[in-house]
Amino acid sequence: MHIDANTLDDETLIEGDICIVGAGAAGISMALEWANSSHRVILLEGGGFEVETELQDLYRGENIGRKYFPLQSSRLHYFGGTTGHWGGFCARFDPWDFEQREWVPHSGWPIDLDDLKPFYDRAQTVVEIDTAPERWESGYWNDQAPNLAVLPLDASKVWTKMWQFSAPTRFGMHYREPVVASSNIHLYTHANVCDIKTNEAVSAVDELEIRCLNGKSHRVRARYVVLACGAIQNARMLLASNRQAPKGLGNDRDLVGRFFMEHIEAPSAYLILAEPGPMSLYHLSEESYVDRKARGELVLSNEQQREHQILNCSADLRAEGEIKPEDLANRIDTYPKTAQGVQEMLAPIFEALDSGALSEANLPPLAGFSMQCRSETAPNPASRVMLGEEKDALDVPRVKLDWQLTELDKRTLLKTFEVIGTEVGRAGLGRLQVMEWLLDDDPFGGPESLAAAGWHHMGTARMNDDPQQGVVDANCKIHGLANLYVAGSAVFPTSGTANPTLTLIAMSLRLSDHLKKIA
Amino acid sequence: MDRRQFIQFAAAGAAGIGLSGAVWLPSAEPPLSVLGRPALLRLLNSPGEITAIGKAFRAEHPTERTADAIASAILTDAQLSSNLPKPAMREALWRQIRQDFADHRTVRLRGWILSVTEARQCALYSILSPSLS
Repeated sequence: MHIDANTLDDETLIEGDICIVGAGAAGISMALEWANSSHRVILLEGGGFEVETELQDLYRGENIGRKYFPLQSSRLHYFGGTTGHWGGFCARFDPWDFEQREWVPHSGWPIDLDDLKPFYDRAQTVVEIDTAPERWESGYWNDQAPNLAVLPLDASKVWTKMWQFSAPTRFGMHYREPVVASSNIHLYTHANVCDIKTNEAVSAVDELEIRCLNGKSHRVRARYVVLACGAIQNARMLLASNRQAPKGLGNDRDLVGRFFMEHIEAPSAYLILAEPGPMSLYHLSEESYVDRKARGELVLSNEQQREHQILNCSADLRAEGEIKPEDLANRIDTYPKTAQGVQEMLAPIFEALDSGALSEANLPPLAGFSMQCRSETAPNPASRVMLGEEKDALDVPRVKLDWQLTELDKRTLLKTFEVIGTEVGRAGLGRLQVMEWLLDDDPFGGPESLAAAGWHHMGTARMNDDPQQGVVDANCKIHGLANLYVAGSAVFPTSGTANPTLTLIAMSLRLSDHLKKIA
Repeated sequence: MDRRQFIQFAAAGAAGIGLSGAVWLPSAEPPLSVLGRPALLRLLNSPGEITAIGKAFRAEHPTERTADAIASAILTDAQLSSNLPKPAMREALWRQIRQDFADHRTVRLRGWILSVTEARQCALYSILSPSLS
């Protein structure tokens, strides 16, 4: 059922078994796991069913580190969350993304890919992509048709990682009816959590304070509380709940908000093939995005990453006539400052992909491609979300984001394309040229830099079984707090090269199963 | 490489453009006429870019700034006789370039990831084609 918190009597007490804060990909996926069960689920969403400027403004903050997108428009604050402008890119993390890599400080998860696999399968259903496991294998596509040939590279050096494309599933539209129709899911919109209150010992959450822009406030009590507001807002909420814990909840070791990660996405190289070949597997075109819903990208093997002591990084190929790097409009300098502006910016791209304008039948034989990286960024404690001095309309301190990159990030990009270029040459396929900006001493900060990001917020409440090194444990429970959990990409200790949506949903379903066992 | 150049290179590759031998190094004698004609020309279809790559190589390798020194380095590394017939020499160079990549004997010049052998060929080309230098 749905209740607009604006319409409740002031200071209403809301009670349930489990309270999920945030109705985006993580929160909705979790809530639906409990639909029609005997448990009373409170799902709190700060926005409504449509984008509202005043509510988006609650996300506004200050970027004090390297250039970054306006915080109020890179996330959507309404039912469905940022799936409202999601591109639908899905990929699984690689096995080595979970490993402790000695050349990557602070790497290593307390779980591995096998732990997540069953939840990935379920997450694929949530985002409406095919669940057949072979669709993640490039060899499967290679066998389907001659034009889907995998490039004949040495897979022990450079392999083809498969991406799949969701419709994309707009959670706000697709899951509104099942959430609202469920008898035991109580969705409260316009309900912004502004404070988390604990018992005197600060060992468990007692209640949440929610505020509405119309001046009303309410309280929520639940046996279990799950924060599912995105990596930036989750950290903000924990840090701002500092009446009983001066450093913020779960922050005794000054870890909350740290290790903020993104993916570096940028046009990075040109690839010239000696002969135009069948490259359909790698194109981002109507055929791959709308019909086949799958595409390959080039990634260095685990062994190569280890040998060169670099991070995970993938490279997609875009040909003349297809979507050009600038069309993706993820340049930070020109990024719209409003959520509506972002949707207007993205609309032509989705329309072109849906209309057939990018059909491969319309493309000439191609030998030239630009390559765009999607690179893991190093977990870095200096890259962090903090509270600013300014407060928002609900009297909550706004965010200050200090996004930082490291020498390892720089080295990763250049070395990745050097290795791909070497392998392309060895295979006799052609030659690769690294773009000029990437050769600068300061590729991320120079005036010619094309480095942008993927709008992927990760880290800030990282997972580690050791409370000295992580905010949450392997079950996503905040260390030292008996009933407070974090869902979403905030818990990622490392960012991999895959877009985070599929993995954060899988992690949320795993958390849901854990809570079912103890609830 | 800017976007315009990229489109030019891509089109060259797509069309399988090759340039006739008569265009290249008309005054050079074997083996320089073979060594100084990198196969990369066929791929990029840009004498100016090949020259720029060659100049960049020479700038980074002070001991390989003369045609003789560069040709000698190519022949030595590929274990080639200077008397080899042209077709056999071209074939041997092609194999050596692939082997360079396999052995990670590569250089990065103007962003291009190239085999040492073909980079030397570009250097030789930049010397022997003064009109383009």
